[in-house]
Amino acid sequence: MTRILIFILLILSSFALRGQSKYTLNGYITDVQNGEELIGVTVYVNSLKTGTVTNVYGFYALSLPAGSYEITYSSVGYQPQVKQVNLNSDTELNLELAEEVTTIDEVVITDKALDANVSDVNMSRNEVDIKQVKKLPALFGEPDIIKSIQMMPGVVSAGEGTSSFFVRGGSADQNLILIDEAPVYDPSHLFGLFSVFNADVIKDSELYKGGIPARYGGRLSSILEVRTKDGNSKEFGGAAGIGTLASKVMLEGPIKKDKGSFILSGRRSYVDLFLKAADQDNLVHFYDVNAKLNWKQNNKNRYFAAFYLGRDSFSFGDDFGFNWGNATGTIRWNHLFNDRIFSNTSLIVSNFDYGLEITDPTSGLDWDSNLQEFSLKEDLNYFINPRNQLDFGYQVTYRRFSPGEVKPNSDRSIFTARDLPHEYALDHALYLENQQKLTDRFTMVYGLRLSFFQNIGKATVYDYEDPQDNINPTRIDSTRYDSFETIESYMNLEPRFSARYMLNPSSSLKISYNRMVQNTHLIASGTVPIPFNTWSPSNRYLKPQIADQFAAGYFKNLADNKYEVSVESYYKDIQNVTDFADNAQLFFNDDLSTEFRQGKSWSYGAEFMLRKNEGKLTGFVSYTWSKTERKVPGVNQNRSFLANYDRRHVMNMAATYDLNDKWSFGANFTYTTGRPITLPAGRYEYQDYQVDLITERNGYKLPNYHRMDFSATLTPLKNKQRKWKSSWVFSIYNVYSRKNPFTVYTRVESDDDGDVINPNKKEARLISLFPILPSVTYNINF
Amino acid sequence: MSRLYYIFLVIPFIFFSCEDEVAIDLNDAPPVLVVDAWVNDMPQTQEIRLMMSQPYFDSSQPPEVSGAQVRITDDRGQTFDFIEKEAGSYQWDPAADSAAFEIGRSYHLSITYEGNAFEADSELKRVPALDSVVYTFYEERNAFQPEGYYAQFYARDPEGTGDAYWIKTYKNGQYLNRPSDLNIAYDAGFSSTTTIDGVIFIEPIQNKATPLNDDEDAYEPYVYGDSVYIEIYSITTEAFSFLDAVATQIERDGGFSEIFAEPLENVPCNISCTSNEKEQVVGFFNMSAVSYKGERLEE
Repeated sequence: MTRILIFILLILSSFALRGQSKYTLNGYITDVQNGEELIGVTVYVNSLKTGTVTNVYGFYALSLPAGSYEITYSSVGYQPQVKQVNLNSDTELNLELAEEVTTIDEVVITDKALDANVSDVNMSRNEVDIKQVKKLPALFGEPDIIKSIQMMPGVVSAGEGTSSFFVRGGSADQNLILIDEAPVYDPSHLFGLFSVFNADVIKDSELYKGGIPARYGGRLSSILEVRTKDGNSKEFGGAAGIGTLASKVMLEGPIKKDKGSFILSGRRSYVDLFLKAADQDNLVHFYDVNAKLNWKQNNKNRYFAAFYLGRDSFSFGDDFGFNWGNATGTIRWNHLFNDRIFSNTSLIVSNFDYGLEITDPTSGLDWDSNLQEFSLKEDLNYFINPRNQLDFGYQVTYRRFSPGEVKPNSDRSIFTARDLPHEYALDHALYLENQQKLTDRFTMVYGLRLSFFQNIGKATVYDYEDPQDNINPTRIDSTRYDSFETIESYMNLEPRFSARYMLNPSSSLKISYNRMVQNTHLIASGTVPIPFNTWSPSNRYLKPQIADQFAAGYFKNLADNKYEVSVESYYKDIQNVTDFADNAQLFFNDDLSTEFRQGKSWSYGAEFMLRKNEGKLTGFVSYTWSKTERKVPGVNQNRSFLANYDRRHVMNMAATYDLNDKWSFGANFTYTTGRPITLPAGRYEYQDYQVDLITERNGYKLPNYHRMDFSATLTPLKNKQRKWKSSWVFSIYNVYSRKNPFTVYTRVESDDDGDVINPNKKEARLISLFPILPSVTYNINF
Repeated sequence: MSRLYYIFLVIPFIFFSCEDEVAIDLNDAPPVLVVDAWVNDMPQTQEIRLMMSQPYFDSSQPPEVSGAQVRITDDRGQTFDFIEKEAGSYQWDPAADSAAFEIGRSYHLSITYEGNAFEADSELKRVPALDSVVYTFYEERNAFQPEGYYAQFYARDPEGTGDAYWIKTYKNGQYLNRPSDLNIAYDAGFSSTTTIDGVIFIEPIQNKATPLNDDEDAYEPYVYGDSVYIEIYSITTEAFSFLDAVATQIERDGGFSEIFAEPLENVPCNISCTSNEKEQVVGFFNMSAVSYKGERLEE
């Protein structure tokens, strides 16, 4: 495979040599304060009315005919800079941009640049501004990007207090969540109350919902890419925060000024410490550690190493305990092959595991389950000329799934030691994508991703008399496979296409199509994944899930890019969506494959977004109308049904208002129609038991949900004179304390103690979670 | 009335959660035929009940189904006619018939009702002898297991996988039929996925001979004079799946954990309408062999 890469590289380099009458201008754009690379900075050649943007590593390259140019570098939130460049040889121009001063009157608005909403070819993409997230109200005062993602158009959540999100009719496991390029299999702390992303170390995060670039693959519905800070390469600094539920510390600084830097951050919840003090046996805590090192040897070679480690741990006295966590690591090398070929090589590892311990003489056991992923990735950007940029690369991933290992932990335990068979998979992907500016108005991105998946040994695969008989699975034959021997392979071509047409300088039309393939399946039938779910690769009985999505949109900026408006609609069709038989046994089942049911899913919707990026008042309003259905043979009597995360209307608002240097305020408002759940429609008696009769999956809709939150951030004025800067964030969640529906369940009529009143009478109960919840967080920066 | 309290469920002490009774508008399920055909080889009158299902929030007694023909046939052509003695109750008295059920044979149920034919198959499987029921005195072990006499039964699952049982407990002659009392076994263990075969039933199954108290928050040990009587019913593996699903349904937690739970599903049914595929029917047909033993706790 490497040989092919070198070959392609050679062809491309020769291509580059022939265009020698042109010269290349390239470099890195960083923040003047802390040396962080800036992503998506517009580099605009004023006289040619053309330009480029920095890639995710802060690098840009432009090839231009020899001559003298005026070049504007601009980015939202930064003061633009104009540079005179005399291009008579290949030129390296690294630049540092300064943050915009928040005193609003001084802001200079440039004529061009900040119009990414309109001019970007990418559609169906949302960036989450971490600075704004920190000013907005947060549950228990803990800023969380996933809670912000859940407010984006096209995204719905299953309920408050959950960290899963559902993009354009896709289920929660169809999102690829990346931290510094490494996948995170379960992004939740405390069963979803918080996400694993510590706001202090996040530099940038983007969500792709459609028109997904060819460099991404492996999941059907979205890519959430979270990048952490590189650490201040100019001076030592840090931050600390004391919150209602958790505290955190972050340190950063140069290893060598402007050459290398580090960042180290930790966060821990501390409810358990109070409980311990109160002599309580039931303990719960979580922690996160993020670390990153980088070394900028020169413009041609830069090295990075990033690590994440997080864990949740619960214990109930001495009897029962469980824990889960993710660990990821990324080693990255950015290299310039020549002035116009930028390469990123990454070595990625990710581990997800959970464990359960029961200490009891007769039913004591230790249960462990884990999943590892090793990946090697080579991404290349070739800046051919101002009209063409070619991205291509290769990724190979090895995955090992260990669904469960049980060990009895006492002599009398009823459990016998067992290790469910491991599964292994190799996933190769090769992609090529070109962004081509056809005219000043029309730009296209077209690409292809080839996914080649192998389910490999070591394994024993069984043949069944009826592979779908989950009540009495009957094995008729078995085949033994050696390590790395192919059991089943699937090859898929994934075309990707996006186009943008500028109607005028402030509005554009965009369309996109993408096909995505998913070979890693979550084995869970609940609405929201829990950390105790296992994953399985595609195999003989589980076919790859395939999604096709079409989207079209209209984009407009108003008042010199102060306001961004977008309207998008989409249609998504999924084949082989993974579901399970009625009453499926998903834990410790040797014949798990007989429980799989794969079917179709389709979804369509319209999304609206209005965003204001400048001024004292900033924020957004989003609205989504969507519908998602499924049809799975053997489920719901083969009739189609609404997905359990289907919500017809979703409206979100978030706003921050900077009153003065001392005070700023934030507010959220959410309104969504209820999601469907399954409730029984009839009942009958069987051998003294009351049995439910269910006529329809997800046939009942929960009541509507709405909530408003407020926050206020106080930055004392004395901060100005000292290096040590502090701030207070006050939050009120659910200001008017609405009892919002979380779920409805039914039971036999009972009193408040749960004692049965009438065994023949049923009643429905509505559960709501958080009433009004105030919180305070104290932050310091140094 | 609503109340605000800490919910000690998935995330104790973090969640302020609130629960209210709510009136909901469900689309009532159209009534379907319910077949409660749980037949055993004991020398006593056997009953098959036919009823109609009811709307979910209807708390009246189930409507009986009268005027059906109910018959069981075994694999050598012997027939057992169940005659309607009371409305919806179809009975067969082994004392009044020369035919008898035999372990190892397969049985076919056929019901004719309003011109439709409903059919099902089952098998009368082996059952191990119930060796003994014993009481053991324990000091208080924890809040759930107070001091007192605990009963256990001993029986050995025969070798060979695929045996399944429903174990019924009677305390002082009273059959314990709460959801928490439902006790089923697959071989000597809990399920087909953890093979425990050819040994004495595992302790949690033996221990169900001691029920929970009325509040279902602790065990209720036996006192002098109490008696316990245990029956082991052999069941088919399909019937095990059925009862397992019934147990999941009737013991569902409700509450916050619902969001992580699998969707509510109908329990399996082994009866089908052979005259009209669209005609729905629920319930189950199972043949059981029974072994039993009782013991009184004497001073």
